[in-house]
Amino acid sequence: MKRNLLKLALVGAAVGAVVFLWMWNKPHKDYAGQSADAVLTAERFYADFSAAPDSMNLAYAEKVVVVEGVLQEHFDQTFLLAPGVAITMLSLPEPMPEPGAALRIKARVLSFDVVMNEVKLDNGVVEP
Amino acid sequence: MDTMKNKHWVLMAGMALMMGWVGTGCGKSADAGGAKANDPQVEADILGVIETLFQGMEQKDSLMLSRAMVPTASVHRVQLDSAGEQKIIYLSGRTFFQTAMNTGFTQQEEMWDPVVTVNGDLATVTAPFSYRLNGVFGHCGVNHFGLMQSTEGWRIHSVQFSITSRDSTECASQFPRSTAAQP
Repeated sequence: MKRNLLKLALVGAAVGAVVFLWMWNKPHKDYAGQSADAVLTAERFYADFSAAPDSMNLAYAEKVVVVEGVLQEHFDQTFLLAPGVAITMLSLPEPMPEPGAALRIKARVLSFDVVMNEVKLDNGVVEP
Repeated sequence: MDTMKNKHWVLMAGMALMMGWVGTGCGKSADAGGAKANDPQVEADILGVIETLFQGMEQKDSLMLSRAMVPTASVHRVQLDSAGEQKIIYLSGRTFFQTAMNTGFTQQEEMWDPVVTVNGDLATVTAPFSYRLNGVFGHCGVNHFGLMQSTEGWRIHSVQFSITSRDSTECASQFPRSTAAQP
């Protein structure tokens, strides 16, 4: 009986280790390599999200989109497109664009942030 | 002469009593009827409520959020926009809950050096904070919480916070104790 329990525990531990290693080595989803589900202007995207955040969250969460807009400011890894689309960049372009520059950024949609009054995206890359 | 001396002592004693009475807030302390100021246990309870709020935000746990903050609470954010104009945004506690529950990202907030003031069943906590979104630094500022004690314990009734910068280097310079500059 004890020997069976020991065998069961060893099998369980082995399965657990395999699952852990598989999860650990699982590659991150390549959002930058995905084609965009939609191309939108930052003004329109922000206006639609601030008017109906819940339905827009449902429609766009986790989708990869291209947002076109004017860079309002950037801080660390975040680009803010006017009037309120904040994108955490996967990589920063060289040279860094100045505020006022027109940009096309492909990124994954997270959701509308009511507290900051911004649409949040991440995994952003500047499109040519 | 003795009578004069006695009168003098009675007058002195009366004045001393009067001064003592005035010194204790005319017999009615600000702490009367509730928690005592500078009570470490009370301060720990109050800071525990704020920690519950932060945990509730991070874990999107509605029970934790409602244990920490009443749905009728008010949340105000003040921030200078890129044009240098001051903007104040208001949210109800209910909207704040819904937002915290439905965000498509993970929020982490930490604060340090809190200043806790307790006056009976009222308390305020002021502290600098930094905020991370999906583990990436987002902004820093100062939180100001207003709490009230009821039969259910301390709960947040108002939050005002400022965003002083969204740049990690600037935040680290404003608040040297913050972890803003850490990756």
